[in-house]
Amino acid sequence: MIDPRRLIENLGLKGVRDLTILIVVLVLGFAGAVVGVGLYNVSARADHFPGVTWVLHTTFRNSVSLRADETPPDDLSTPGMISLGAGHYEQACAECHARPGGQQDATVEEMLPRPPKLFSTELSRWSASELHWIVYNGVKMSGMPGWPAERTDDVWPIVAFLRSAGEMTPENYAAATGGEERGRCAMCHGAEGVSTNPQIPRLDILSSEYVAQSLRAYREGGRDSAIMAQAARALDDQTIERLANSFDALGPSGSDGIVDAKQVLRGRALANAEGEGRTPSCSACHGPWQHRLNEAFPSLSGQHAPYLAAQLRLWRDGPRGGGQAAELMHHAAENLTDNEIAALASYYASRDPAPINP
Amino acid sequence: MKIGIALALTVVLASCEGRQSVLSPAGRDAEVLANLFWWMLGGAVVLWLFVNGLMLYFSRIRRKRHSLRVAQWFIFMCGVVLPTTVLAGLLIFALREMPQQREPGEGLTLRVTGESWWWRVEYWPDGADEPVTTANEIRLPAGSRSEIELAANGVIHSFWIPALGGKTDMIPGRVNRMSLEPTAPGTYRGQCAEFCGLSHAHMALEAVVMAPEEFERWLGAEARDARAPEGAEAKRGKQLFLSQGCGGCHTVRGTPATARVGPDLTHLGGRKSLAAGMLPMDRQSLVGWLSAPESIKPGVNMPGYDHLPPADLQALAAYLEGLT
Repeated sequence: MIDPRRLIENLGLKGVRDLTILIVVLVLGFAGAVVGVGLYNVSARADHFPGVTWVLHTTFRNSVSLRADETPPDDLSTPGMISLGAGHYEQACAECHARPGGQQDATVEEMLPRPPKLFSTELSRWSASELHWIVYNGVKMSGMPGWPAERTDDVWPIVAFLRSAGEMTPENYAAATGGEERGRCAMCHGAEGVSTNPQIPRLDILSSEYVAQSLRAYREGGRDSAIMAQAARALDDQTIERLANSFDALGPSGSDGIVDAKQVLRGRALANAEGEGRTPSCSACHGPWQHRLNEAFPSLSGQHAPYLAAQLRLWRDGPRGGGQAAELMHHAAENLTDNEIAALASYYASRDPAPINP
Repeated sequence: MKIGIALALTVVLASCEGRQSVLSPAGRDAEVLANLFWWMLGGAVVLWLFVNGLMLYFSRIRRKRHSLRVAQWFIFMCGVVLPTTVLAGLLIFALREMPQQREPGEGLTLRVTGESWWWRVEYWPDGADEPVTTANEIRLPAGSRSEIELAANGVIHSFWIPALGGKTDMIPGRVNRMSLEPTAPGTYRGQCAEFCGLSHAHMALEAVVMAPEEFERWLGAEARDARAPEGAEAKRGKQLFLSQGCGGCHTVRGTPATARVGPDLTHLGGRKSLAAGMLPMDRQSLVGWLSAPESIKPGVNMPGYDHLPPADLQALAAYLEGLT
């Protein structure tokens, strides 16, 4: 045992106060050397000091489980959610975390910490809400970025995909993402703008003006969606015009054919404001009409119900933006109940699409 | 000092004149209330003089001891007999007048619904199958009694046109009845008299009393569909009205706009005021209201259209102004 009093005497100091001063000076000197002189080696080639990896990982795990509190939606495990997640994974995540059955880049393998591979056992340790937290928040100083949007609901498709990744073969993955040769829009929205995934909007029923306006809103952040921001951020105005016009020549057809007739009838009454309610008539702007009144307003007839419901919830609860008239939709949706949203979505999904160029 | 008091009195008395005053009645019901008020005021003055006179008399002029009998008689007469007589008289008078205030109408029924923050007005002439709908202005024929049903949507309001009669609450989920018999043609002003939210103070209405034949002519015109727009600007305004989704909330009869969320605009331009008594009905007010309704009526459900170019707002205003 060291006797502090003898130590102080041996060092020629005159009391505890002097010892404290000495220690503070040493610590500051060391910190100055690390920060100011560059004593610490930040090389990713050099591994952490012993024990540091354990400290970092344990801190990370506990921090995530303390904070993860989002409740997964009921439709988390549906094929639509999984394939939407797969599409975004392909665009934004596969670069670092590898595709099913694939390898990580040689460069990525040299990251510290190294991004876990899609199939690593690491993945199965996390619950759905923990995965949601990690994808939405990112992880500080690990290279994992935060979600580039405010809304939290469109993180769930990624979670759905991650949870199903164990069973996903390279063939399934290629089918879900449409393969690389189909192009970025078609991967999710279908080669002719008719997405078969009900989570993803059909584009063939929308006017080119509305599609262009939406792409600009995604690019500039007016519409808050990480998935579409990833897809639209790099588009220039000419490309947006070209993309917006690409489905115009095709006449839309077919609808989801909703079977819940009761919901459809309730939705129809609501959409046409047949009651005394406080919700404006949807049909005044979104059809069904005989002639399109305003190119800037989207036609909803034939649109997929889950997508419509998600957007209506965003109008009601969230910061959804869009074109210049976005404020109108916040007023229109503010009094909707979840039930009314479901009914409206069923009604519009059950209708045949309106012709775009009558 | 004297000038100050005189000025203050001028201000106070001036507010008793005019179109929103209990003291210048323009209808049978308001006359009763005004009479009652004057009688009570006169009575209160007499009583005040009487009580203070007695006090002066006994304390300053004839300071002497009174016998117990005189004191007891005095307390009984002034403490029991006099108040009972006065209050009973007032009660009998008021009870006799009360049925009159809700007598059945003589043909015309109005249904007024308090909304946030405007008035939905429906006219049901005798034997009508469907109402003539308008908003924020009621018109009544002079010389006959009209029945008024009062309802509310969402929150409580109160219907009060001081120059025509007393006030009655409008309560969600029930219908209150009252009736009014205006006598003097003219334009009066009403006001929501029960706190109903952010823009309670911005919820007024115009009440126009018309000669009976004139009223019939007006109601006939009001029942017709909207006038077609005249001139290129107004025509463009109508196109804009439909394409910008105004029909999502409003009705203009004779056009595809048929929603009932907001006020019926079929004859908007013929109304005396805009935004429930807040603005005069003219082009400039219409443009101001369309672009920034929130600045005129905080919390209003009408969204602003300031994203439209000024020329479009002018065209919309031209169309709406022409809907007479």
